[in-house]
Amino acid sequence: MAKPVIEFKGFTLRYASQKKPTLYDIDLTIYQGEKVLILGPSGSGKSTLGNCVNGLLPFSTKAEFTGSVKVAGVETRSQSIHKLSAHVGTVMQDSDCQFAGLTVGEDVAFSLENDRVPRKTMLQKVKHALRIVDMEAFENHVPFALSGGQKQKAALAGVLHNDVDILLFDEPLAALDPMAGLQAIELIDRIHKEQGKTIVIIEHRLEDVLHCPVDRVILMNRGRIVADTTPAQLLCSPLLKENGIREPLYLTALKYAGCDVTPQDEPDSIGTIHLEDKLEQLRAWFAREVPPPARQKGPCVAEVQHATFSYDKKPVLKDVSLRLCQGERVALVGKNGAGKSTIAHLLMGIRRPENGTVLIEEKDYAALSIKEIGERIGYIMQNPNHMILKDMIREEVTLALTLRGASKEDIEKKFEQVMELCGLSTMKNWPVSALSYGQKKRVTIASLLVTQPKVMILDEPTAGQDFHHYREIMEFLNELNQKTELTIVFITHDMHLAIEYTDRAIVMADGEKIADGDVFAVLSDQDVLQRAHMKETSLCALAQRAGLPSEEFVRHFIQYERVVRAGGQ
Amino acid sequence: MGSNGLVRFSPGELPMQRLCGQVKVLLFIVFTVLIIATFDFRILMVVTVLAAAALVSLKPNWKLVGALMAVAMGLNFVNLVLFYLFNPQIGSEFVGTSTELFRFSARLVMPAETLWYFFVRSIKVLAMFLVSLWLIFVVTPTQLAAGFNRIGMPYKVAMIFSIALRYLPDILQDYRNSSASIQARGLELDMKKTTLGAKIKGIFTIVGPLVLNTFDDVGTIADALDLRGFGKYKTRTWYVEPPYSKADKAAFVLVGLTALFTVGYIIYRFVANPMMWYPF
Repeated sequence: MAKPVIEFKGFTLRYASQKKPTLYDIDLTIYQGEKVLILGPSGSGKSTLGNCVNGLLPFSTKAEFTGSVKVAGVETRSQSIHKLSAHVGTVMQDSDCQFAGLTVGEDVAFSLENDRVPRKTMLQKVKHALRIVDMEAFENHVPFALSGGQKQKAALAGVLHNDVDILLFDEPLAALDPMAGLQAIELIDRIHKEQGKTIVIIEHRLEDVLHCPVDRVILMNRGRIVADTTPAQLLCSPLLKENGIREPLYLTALKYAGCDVTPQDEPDSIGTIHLEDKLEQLRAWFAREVPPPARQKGPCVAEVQHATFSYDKKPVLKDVSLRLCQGERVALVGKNGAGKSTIAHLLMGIRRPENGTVLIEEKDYAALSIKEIGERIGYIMQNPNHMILKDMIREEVTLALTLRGASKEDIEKKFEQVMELCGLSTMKNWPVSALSYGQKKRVTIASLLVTQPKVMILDEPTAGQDFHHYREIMEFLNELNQKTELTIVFITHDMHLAIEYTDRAIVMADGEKIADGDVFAVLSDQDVLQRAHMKETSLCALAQRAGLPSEEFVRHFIQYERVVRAGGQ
Repeated sequence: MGSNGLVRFSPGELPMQRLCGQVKVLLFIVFTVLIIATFDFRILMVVTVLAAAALVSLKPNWKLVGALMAVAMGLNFVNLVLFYLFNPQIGSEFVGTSTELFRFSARLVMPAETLWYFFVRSIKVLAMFLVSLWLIFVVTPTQLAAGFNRIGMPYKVAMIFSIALRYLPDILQDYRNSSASIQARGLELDMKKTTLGAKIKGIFTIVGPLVLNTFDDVGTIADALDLRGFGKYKTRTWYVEPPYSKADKAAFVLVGLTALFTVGYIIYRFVANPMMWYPF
């Protein structure tokens, strides 16, 4: 029997600032060398659990607790955060905040410096750690020149020193594009195998984590452990659905087809699952008729014609043309730095094309100010907290009208309409601080809708959100699109968001538009996906294994799912 | 990408940039003390020429240097005018003689000694400016922290500056994004279309929420530092501080000689209390 390295016994924890406990009665043992996933929706207590292991609780944030937590056999409360960090290396969700040095080398050396390691030894250790995460070439790079994935690798290298035996990853996928996420999961797996460390991953994206095998999944919800079992057992139980975790897509497809999946089928990943006895059912399901959604293209509302743009003489857009029609839902995809944000800035008029033109409702926008363009084209930033400027919802939502000197009656009328449209009618006089993340998102959208724009551009609207909030935000936007014929452009990395909620995909790579068309066709093109740093969904892999055409299969799945959801299920 | 406007983030390859942080900080300190201690034109001239030569060897962005110099000299000029209005004989008092050149009015005479005093004072400001600029162009924030720590400042204090500079570009980026979004919503920040007052008010509208968000981040950053042992011991070692090179040792000699000279000069000034050196 392996040695236990993390032991929770009858552990209940309440933050000093809260009335109710965040963790109830936790009993959990993690053994040396295990790889464990702690799974749960937002607010389930999974990050709190992680912070009890690395010592942020109770040493950094005040909390009351009963029961016991032992790390490496010692009660954590009798130690200090610094002593615990010799055992537990934490890679935080926000690798930007974790990056304290001004170069990669400095950052990786940070804990060694604090440990008073002589510089000669330090340099060797930094090189060694960078070699493990494959970042040797980046030792002198500044953080501003790194991608999210590279920052995370540097953070990981920074905690690999001194033989820490537990590595804790707090939402390692949250800030990464799909390809970088995949690579992160593979890197974690390699370090688990090569270094023999105990790995604890805290995440809500089950399918992405299961890309590499894990020994055990701890499912949490509302501060309690709901399940402590193997991935295969969990995937075959109804627990995922009950606890707001997205089921892997290939399993959803198999269930739609009426297949029975058991733990003996090794359903952990699309690579391992046994399909032999299921193919017939799957093919029969694929052959079923599903009505395609009826959609008509409206008139063109905005158009970019042969636009070029550069920063410091470095071209970021090269001869890009695109048209947006009324009521369309468009996914704008591509890896970081491909030119997506520049297109958004061009459409908003914050940047103007060096060559080429932008037309809004068929008219050149060169003579219009940012303010005038803003009435027609709205932009929603990723984090609503960066957009909200007022304390009261009423003031926030009517701000654009107030700044434009609209009459009191006009403001009141439009405010009522928009609040109704956004499902915020009951919150008209609420302060912004009383809202959840999803509600804040709605408020930012409402605050742009008051000027009745034609196009709304949303930057990663669901980044960092769990499945429940993802659904809430996206269903709301979908409804808005249907009710108002608003054209919605999603800047996103989320492949499934694109195929589930948009009609068309525009793909950018190195400042060029490399694809533009029907979302299913574009996003099943392997070459395009690779250049956009995206990965195909497991539905494609399932289709390939079943010998079915992947584009058609994905389209069938999405249309079937729309029917199922419309049926009230 | 070695620098971001004024602040350097990686050391650079020029000989003076490769000195260790401790020596850079010490050079800055001894020359600053010397400049503050003296009103002797000959000493100031030597320091100015040395600092200017050092700065030229760094091949800085001259446009930037010119702009900063214009600001520094402009402020100096305002300062001198105020000095003059307060006491037109200020130079004569330092030199001990008074040779009237011309007068604006009965009170506002202009002695040659006052002109000389103002000239020396300007050279002093110039020298200070060049030495400061030299430091900015050779040092990274981390080296600065390491340098101050190695001459005795507690590292938690020394590092405040470097950690702040690490996160400053992120905050600026957030500001730019917020500013774009609020402009689209109808706040006019374009100077051609609005008054300065309205613009300042607009900027405050953006900065308020930004500061609150920054506070959230500060909590996360503090946690991250804690988790990696920041503050574990009273001292720490430095990745950026290599063993002393030959150049470092030579620079230490220069620091030592300058320090000796400065101390000697200060004692001489207190004991002999000489008049200001005046060549005419």
